[in-house]
Amino acid sequence: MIYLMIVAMGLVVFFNRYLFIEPRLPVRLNYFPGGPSAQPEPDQPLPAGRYLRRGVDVLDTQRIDHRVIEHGAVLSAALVALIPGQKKARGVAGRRETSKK
Amino acid sequence: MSTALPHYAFTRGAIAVIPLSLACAPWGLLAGSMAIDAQFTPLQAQGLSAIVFAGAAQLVAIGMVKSGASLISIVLTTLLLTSQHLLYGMHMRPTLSSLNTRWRMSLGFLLTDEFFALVNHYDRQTFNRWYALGVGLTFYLIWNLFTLAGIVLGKSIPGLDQLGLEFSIAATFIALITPVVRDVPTVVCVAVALLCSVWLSYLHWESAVVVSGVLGMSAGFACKRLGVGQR
Repeated sequence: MIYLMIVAMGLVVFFNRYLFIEPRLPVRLNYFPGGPSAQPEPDQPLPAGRYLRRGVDVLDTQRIDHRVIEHGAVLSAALVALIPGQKKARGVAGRRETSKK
Repeated sequence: MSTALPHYAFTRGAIAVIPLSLACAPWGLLAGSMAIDAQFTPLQAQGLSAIVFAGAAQLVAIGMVKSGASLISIVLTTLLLTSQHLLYGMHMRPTLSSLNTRWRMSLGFLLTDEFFALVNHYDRQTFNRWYALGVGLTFYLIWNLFTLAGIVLGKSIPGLDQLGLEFSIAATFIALITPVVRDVPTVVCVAVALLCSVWLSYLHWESAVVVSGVLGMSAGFACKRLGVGQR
């Protein structure tokens, strides 16, 4: 029981530490403290326009549904990525939104 | 990425973390002695520090084991108690996520409050992975050595957990927080969290710390949005 608890706690703590430094997690966060505005990177899509103009946190919308960003929930992005079957849906939704712009 | 010599950068990181490691010494002692007091075997007590490597979560889990809590509730509490690491990881994503898997997982495992305090201000150009490894690995080794000392002392000195060593937890976090309290929103955040935690604890709210943290962050965020203290 104690050994199981130690291993489970270790996994949970490592999950918290590692989750957002995993590059395959479809979230990219750029923070511009005190900057006048955030500048999109060369491959940065524009559906996050509202957030780009504010100069606050910018998420990469290339691989996630932009509605997640509209809700301003950074942690939700991680949850969306973990929901089975979201990968395909996100890609389609992302293209549709991009084409509208 | 900084290209300083690996051994030089590693040593520099190891030296930088020593003051913080010593500040955590009573905490490590407590983690070892409390585990022994809770009927853990020495191997289990050391394994807790070696595998979990999260002081607050360890102490709370030991307390929960003593009170007969279930595995699920211990794991969920650990998840919540260590959730600040999500923010650390998010903040350090630009520097750490570009490393190869071995480095990323190693530094991810070593990502503690102390590691974050010393490494977070480096950007992609100035970040040195050997410096970060020096910080993290040294802290890990010292933490485990003090846990071992706590296990040994816990067997020979009765009532070690009654000596007030847990104040080192508060002292360590005060030392970590003070340098980053530089602007009005942060001061407001800290002040609101501090006052609310004292007040709600006085009222015997079980969730005093969590509620105070949320209120503090909300107050700081509101100040920032309202432009309070900005030139």
